[in-house]
Amino acid sequence: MIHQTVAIALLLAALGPSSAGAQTPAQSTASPQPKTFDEAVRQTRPNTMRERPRPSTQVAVLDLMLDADAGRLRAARLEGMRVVSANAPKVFERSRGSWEVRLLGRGEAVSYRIPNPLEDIEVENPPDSAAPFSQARPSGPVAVQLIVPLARKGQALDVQRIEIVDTVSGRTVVETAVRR
Amino acid sequence: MASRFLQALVAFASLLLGACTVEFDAGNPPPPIAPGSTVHGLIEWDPSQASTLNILFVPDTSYGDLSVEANLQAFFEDIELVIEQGYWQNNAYYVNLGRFNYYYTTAAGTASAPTTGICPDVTWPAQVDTDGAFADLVLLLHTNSLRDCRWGRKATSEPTSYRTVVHESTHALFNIPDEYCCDGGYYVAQPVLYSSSANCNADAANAAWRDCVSFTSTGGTTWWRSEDSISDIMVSAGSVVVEVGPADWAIMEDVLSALGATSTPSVFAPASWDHTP
Repeated sequence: MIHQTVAIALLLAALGPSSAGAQTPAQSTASPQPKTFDEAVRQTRPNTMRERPRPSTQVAVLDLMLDADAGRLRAARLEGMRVVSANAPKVFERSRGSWEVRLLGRGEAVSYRIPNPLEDIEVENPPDSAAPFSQARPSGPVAVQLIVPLARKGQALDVQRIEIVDTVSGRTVVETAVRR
Repeated sequence: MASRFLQALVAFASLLLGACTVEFDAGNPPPPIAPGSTVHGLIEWDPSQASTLNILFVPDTSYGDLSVEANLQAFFEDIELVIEQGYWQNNAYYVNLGRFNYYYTTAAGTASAPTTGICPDVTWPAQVDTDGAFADLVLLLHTNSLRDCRWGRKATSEPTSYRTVVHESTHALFNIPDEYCCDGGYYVAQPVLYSSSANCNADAANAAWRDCVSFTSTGGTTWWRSEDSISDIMVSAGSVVVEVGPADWAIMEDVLSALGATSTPSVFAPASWDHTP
């Protein structure tokens, strides 16, 4: 099947205007409406076939170990933190929930909300259940990885410390210096 | 000129030899999105990722070695099912499909029946927190039957559990709480969920559909839902993927419009939309 995809691309390239050395521009993001998965794959092929450099922005990956009692937080500790090169996940855009992640540095403090990870675990119910899902309330150690952006809209935030606060209890869950 | 003619001839012959439908094929997979990365773009409207929510598919080891074309093809075809029969059967996702990039990783994980608790035992490949750190949702696809779970941005699913995929994705991508009673994940997220009747009934943002009704969670907290009469994907009482409610869309639009242009769905729950390619 890929032979067909490639064939179409070759055919279009061959029949289209000749422009030696010209690069295919990136796909526009304006309201694409392909009807099928295959159309979407084909339309974005000029983008997906391009390797690009690693992003210049960074995120901190926090490995937390939460000690839970039926979904309630008893204790938390930071098991590790590493900084990796990545574009920021859209945490600022979807900022909602009862935990606040505070990015502290020399500039103005920046923060966003996330749901309490111990209350953000959902399980499929058996088929004969009244509701298809329910919340899972874990007990014991729960490993949680949080991806914390160190940039916003492509601009580094100069984050020196990260603080995570449960706004319901007012308790600081973890805080850590950012070591790059 | 001769080479262009030959190129066209080869392409035309390939088309004739192939079947009528043109599908994505594992024979010529895209390169990694960056040198040394295990992540590849599958549908990538914005390679800068600045204007999209980014969804990363992770294979279970049951797909086998993904350097084998047939195994990668099986994985692609399951992703196709999830996108076409899951996400795109929800009108809000479909009319805004340019706001979603889809990726896959060749680093496999495992999901198996739980040894303790009710969620599957999952081994995530370490690369999802490095190469895939950009992802707003990490979805591990497995073919064995399990009661799946979502933990924040990470979830497991069979490729045919369409409702689960859309419901859990809507949590992870938009931070929209559950709306079913009584043991879901709840937090204040206006105009979906409120902590009081006064707040719900006084919020101009829900005036168009306001039907504020309370429920008490198993934890004992009382919540107020603004779209009580509407059974939507976050209530998920139906047996198939259903649409978002107008309150859900208000939050989705808030998130998506921060990334770029959006389109308002033409169908809201409890009506449903059938996307037939």
